[in-house]
Amino acid sequence: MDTECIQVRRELMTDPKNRAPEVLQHIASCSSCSDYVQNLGHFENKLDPALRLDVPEGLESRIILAQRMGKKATTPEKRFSDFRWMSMAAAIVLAVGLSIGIFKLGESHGVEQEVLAHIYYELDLLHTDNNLSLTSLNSILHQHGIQALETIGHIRHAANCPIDNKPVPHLILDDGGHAITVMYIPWEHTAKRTLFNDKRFNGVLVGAEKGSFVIVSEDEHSLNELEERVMSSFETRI
Amino acid sequence: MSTDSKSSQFEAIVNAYSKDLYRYGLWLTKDSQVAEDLTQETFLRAWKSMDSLKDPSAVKSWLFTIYRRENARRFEKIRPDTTPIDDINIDKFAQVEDSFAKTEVIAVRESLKELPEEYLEPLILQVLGGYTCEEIGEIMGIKPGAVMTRVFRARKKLRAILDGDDEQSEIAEI
Repeated sequence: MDTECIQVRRELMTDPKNRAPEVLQHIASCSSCSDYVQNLGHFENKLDPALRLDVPEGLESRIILAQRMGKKATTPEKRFSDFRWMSMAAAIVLAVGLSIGIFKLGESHGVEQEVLAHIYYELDLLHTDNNLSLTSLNSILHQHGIQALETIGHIRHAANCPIDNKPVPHLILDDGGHAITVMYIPWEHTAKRTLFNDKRFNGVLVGAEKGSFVIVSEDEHSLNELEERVMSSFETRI
Repeated sequence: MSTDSKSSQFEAIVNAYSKDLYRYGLWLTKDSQVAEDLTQETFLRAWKSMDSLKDPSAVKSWLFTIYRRENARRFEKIRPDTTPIDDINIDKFAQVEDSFAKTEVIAVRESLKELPEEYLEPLILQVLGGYTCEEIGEIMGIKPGAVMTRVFRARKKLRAILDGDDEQSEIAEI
């Protein structure tokens, strides 16, 4: 091995893709360096896949969701252990909402927009009907300091879901065959009534005695009636 | 640039570079949660500054530079307690079907864990990022000559570990 061999090998170890004419010329004329290049190639073929660590599912979706929300989207590991829906949720936001342009979060980052995002995450639930009893519903509401009354009507679904990384009651009520989403946000205190909508849903954020309710329907005309129904169907627990 | 156009461009950038950026971060931070947080933070910052990006062809190095800066910011407040990359499932290799080859790749990955960060980082940027030594120098804020030395030493050390050789003796061989 002469000084030229050493130089060529150093250059190849620095950049194995080096195809400079002088390098190629030397390799062609030096069997020892030719073997060396072959061995280096085998090593490089293992190095690339070794560096390609597994990427968590839904990474791209969460990044784009974070951009839409204006803040980092929580990863599944950070979320409550039972709520492993973030990847699916973000994917739905992308696939259903963003790609066909029906879901636009706008510049504001209010709780009503997080609720809208959550509805898109769980769109399938709008077709669910578990016909829950009032007792079952109130067992969920209990921890949030409110309870529902008989006037609430047909309850299709109720669960605790994460909004702003905190559990809130997520209800789906029935309104003449239509699904109505109701979420109670205990920490959201507002005196004003805020209407919001996107291309599919219409909603209202309305303050209650302590927190606020977010009511969302696909039918904007029924929103006032729904609001009256909701506001008269819950009371704060003492 | 319209908002829709900017969003489309952003999504294309995310789809093109987020995986490599995450992998780069995972090797640097040794923590999958931190790596993803930094990846999201990097893209959030990129989104906010996209209008100021003059050269679209430079977007990849721009992202790595942001990522690197975001990672450095973690150290400004407190030195993070990093643990070895034990949570990485080294049995999963989408690109490697052959079981013998898989075993060899796992061995290389184990060796990579022993590499000092100053050697590992430019090597990742070269292999995963596809950067030249000049470009790596710009991202890392060091001279191209220093990059060349580091990637050379990185390969030497890795090969020595894999061969079970004394690193110095192999360097002397060249």
